[in-house]
Order: sequence, then structure tokens, then C-alpha cells
Amino acid sequence: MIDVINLEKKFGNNKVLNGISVTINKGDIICVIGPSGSGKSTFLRCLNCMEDPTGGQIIFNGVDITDFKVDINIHRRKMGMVFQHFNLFNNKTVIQNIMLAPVYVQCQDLKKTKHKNNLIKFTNIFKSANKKKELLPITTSKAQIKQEAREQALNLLKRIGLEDKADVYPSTLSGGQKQRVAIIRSLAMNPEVILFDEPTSALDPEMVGEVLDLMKSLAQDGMTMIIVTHEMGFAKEVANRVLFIDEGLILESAAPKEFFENPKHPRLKEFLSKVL
Amino acid sequence: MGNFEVKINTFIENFITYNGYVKVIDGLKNTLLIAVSGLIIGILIGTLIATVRVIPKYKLLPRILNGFCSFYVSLFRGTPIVVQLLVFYYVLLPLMGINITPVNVSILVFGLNSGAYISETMRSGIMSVDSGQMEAGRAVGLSFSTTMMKIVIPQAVKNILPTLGNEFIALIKETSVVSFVGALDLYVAFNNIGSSSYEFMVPYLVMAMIYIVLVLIISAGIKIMERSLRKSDRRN
Ligand SMILES: Nc1ncnc2c1ncn2[C@@H]1O[C@H](COP(=O)(O)OP(=O)(O)OP(=O)(O)O)[C@@H](O)[C@H]1O
Ligand SMILES: [Mg+2]
Repeated sequence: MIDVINLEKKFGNNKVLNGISVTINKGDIICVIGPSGSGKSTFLRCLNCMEDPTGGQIIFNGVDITDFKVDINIHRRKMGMVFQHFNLFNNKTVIQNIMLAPVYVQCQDLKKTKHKNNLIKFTNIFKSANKKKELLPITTSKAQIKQEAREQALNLLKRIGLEDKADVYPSTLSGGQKQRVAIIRSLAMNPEVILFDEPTSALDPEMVGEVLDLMKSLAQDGMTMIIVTHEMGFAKEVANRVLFIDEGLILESAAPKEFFENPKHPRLKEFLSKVL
Repeated sequence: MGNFEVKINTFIENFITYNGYVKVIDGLKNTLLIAVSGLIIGILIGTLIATVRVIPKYKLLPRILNGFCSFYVSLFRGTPIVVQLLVFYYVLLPLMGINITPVNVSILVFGLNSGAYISETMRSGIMSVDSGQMEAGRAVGLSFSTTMMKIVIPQAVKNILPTLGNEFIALIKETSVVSFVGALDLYVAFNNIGSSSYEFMVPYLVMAMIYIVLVLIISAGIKIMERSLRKSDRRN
């Protein structure tokens, strides 16, 4: 689904990624670990072009999204992203946070179809009766889009047991609740893959579990996930592949059992001996 | 003090018996109209400029726009408002063959002028919004401008509301120069009353009081608005 080919990223003269190549298949759950400053976040942020790579390619469903001519917004809708600091929209209620993007995107599409139909109607005036073009079907309306998005959002909130928080502002939620809302906000776009950047690092210890549990349940549903994390236990249990990044390179890539029990690269051995 | 009583009586006579109040009401209307419209235009222009100035500047177009905006801001902040009024009314608009009323010119110039000032306020407001808000918007596939409009600017406006209130008060006060292009405002109305009796003390005193009351009312309005906004932060 995602092919990363020789990905490079420089900030000024600071080379952070030095040629990363990796293939991510549908249903993969990939954990990325590595020392601080090794480029894990930069790697993740390059995958949806939040940072523009300075070299290499990212092929997402056959399209090279590093190409500036590509409309990146369309592809980002299929790649969810969850941040260390949640980044819920502070000026929107919980349910508005979840509905905002789906409603906006579908209303935009509806508008475009209507514009196209107007164009067809206009050109039809000049065509003989048997040559008139048919209008594009419009099966929905703004109200219906909103209604459906609302139902979907409420279902997602039920899934995390926060349906009673639908109409509160994010500032009143705990960290664990915020992060779970952030996760279902990205789910609401029906993404093909979700990118997580240290989703539990900013949480109090007693809230880490609830967020990891939600991520596990996504994994069981078959969601493709790429997770930068320091939670080794989670990586061991849930991942089907673990990547070790240091100095902008993938130094090791293996199944979790192999990765943790039989590390090959000396740097990984050293790293694991420090963190385990 | 007897003298003062005479002055008051003269004023009252002019104000009521000779219909001075009609002009005062018109003047008050114009003062408010120019200040309110100026503020609205200023917020629109200021928001636009502030947005242009925070767009990432890798590409050529944002750089050109940014240069134009810097020029605009330094132009309107670098010259007195009276000069701007005079130049628009007597030079620019006639050269362009546009003929509009003094009040409309005043609205235009005060809008353009406060746009330059508000753009700086708005920019600092935008900068005070956590960059994670923009990132989250972009990450769900919204464009820069959509995220700006729906997420960042509403939060920025909330942050700078007190400053915007002060800008409105400043506008109310500054409109007292529109008589330079012949617009009828509070000052002109009271000046008329004064000149008809060669007695300026009481008219100007009353004028000052009206300005003070206006400013007090607006200040109170801003306080109420701030308080209700803060409440929405805590709402459960
Ligand atoms: N926007 C930026 N501008 C300049 N340098 C940056 C930027 N973002 C990251 N860097 C640099 O890139 C390097 C890698 O950063 P990155 O955030 O990817 O590391 P990381 O592996 O995620 O570390 P951590 O575990 O601390 O989150 C760091 O040296 C950092 O200073
Ligand atoms: Mg990081």
C-alpha cells in the first residue's frame, strides 16, 4: 500500500533521514523505535508529507505523493494521523471535532457535482434532443451528510464510551480521553492507514492503558497502522514488524519476536539493553 | 457663575429651539457608522494580510503577496490618518474619476487604515494559536485556507478580542478628523452650534461628554463579551 523509496530529509544542512526504504502492506502494524532525535517523527511526518521530503519517493496506492503536482489533501484523507499532544480543535466540541472533516469534504464533493450538473444543463441547451447529456446523480443533501456524519460520530463515541461527552469542549477532557477522541477523529475519515507519533508519551501513566487498548482493538479490526512508540511491551504484543531507526536509517526490521529476542545490529543491542 | 448659566441657556436654545440636535444626531450616526464600518473592513483586511504573512514562503506567489502586504502596512502606519483622508478625497479618487461622499471616503480610509493596524494584532493572535491546530487540520486533509478559516482564526480572534475592542475605541476617537474632508460628525455638529452663537465652551464640553459616554459603553460591552467567551471555555 505504501512504498517508501530512498526517502531523504534535510533541515537546512542537517540531514535527518538518510535514505529510508520500506514497504507497508495492507493490515500491517508497524512499530518504529529508536533513540531520541534519530528521525522517527520526521519519518512519520514525511509519510503524509506534513514535512516535504527532500529526496526519494513515497508511493501511496500507486501515486507518488511527494510530487508537488499531486493534491496532497486528497491523499491525506486516507492517511489518519494521531499526535503526541492530541491536537484536538479547541474551538470545536468533541462531536464537531469528529464531524468537521467528513462533513466538509463531502459537502465540497456535493458542491462540485452540482457545479458540473449546471455546466451539463447549460451545454444541453445547445444540443439536439437525442444528444443531450444526462445529469450526474445526486443522492444526498447537505442535511443528510450532516445527519449521517453525526450518527457515525456518535457510534464512534459509543465505541470509546464517551457518548456523554459529545457536546463538551476538549479542554474539559482528561489526556486519555483527548487522545481517544483524536484517534476516532482520524477514524471518521475511513482512512486506509493511521500514523501514530508517540500517542501515549504525553499521558499520565494511568491513562496509557486505555489508549493502547483502543489501538489494539483497531489492530484487531485489521487497520493498517504505523506507530512510533516507546512502549516496548505494546510493540512486542501487537506489531507484526518492528523497525529500528537511528541516525536517519532503518538499521533493523524484523518480526517482534526476532527483533527483541535476537537483535542483530550492535546499535539495536545497545539500545535494547538500555531501555529494557 | 451667572455667566456660565447664560452660556448654558444659549446652548440649550441653539440645541433645541434651533434644531441643533438634528445635526448632533446625524453627526453621532456618522461617527458610529464610520467607526463600525471601518472596524469591520479593518478586520477583514487585517485578517487577510495576517494570513498572507503566515503562509509558508517557499513559493514565489506567497512571497510577492507578502511583499505587497508589508508595503501596504508600512504605508498606512507610516502616514497620519488626516493625510490619508486628504490624499484619498482630493487626489486619488478624483484621479480615478470616482466621486463619493465624504462619509464614504472616511469609511474607506478608516477601513484601510485600521486594516493595517489590525493585521499586526491578528498576526500575533494567529501566532499565539498552537501550531498543532494547523497540523491537525492539515492531517485530516483540510487545505491551509480551510484550516485557517475554521480552526485557527476563530481561536486567534478570541485571543485578541480585548485588543480589537481597544482598536474600536481608538477608531471612535480618531473619526473626529473627518471634518477635514467635510463629513458631518459629532465635532462638526457641535462646532456648528458653537459658531452660530460664537459660544464654544458648552458645546465642546457636551461633545467631550458624549465621546466619554460612548467609550464607556463600548468598554462595558467588550467586558461582557470577554466574560461570555471565557464561559464557553469551561462549558460542560
Ligand atoms: N522542523 C524542524 N526544523 C529543523 N530541524 C528539525 C525539525 N524537526 C526536526 N528537526 C531535527 O531533526 C532531528 C530528528 O528529529 P525527530 O523529531 O524526527 O526525532 P525523533 O526520533 O522523533 O525524536 P524523539 O524521540 O525525541 O521524538 C532532530 O535533530 C531535530 O532537531
Ligand atoms: Mg518524535
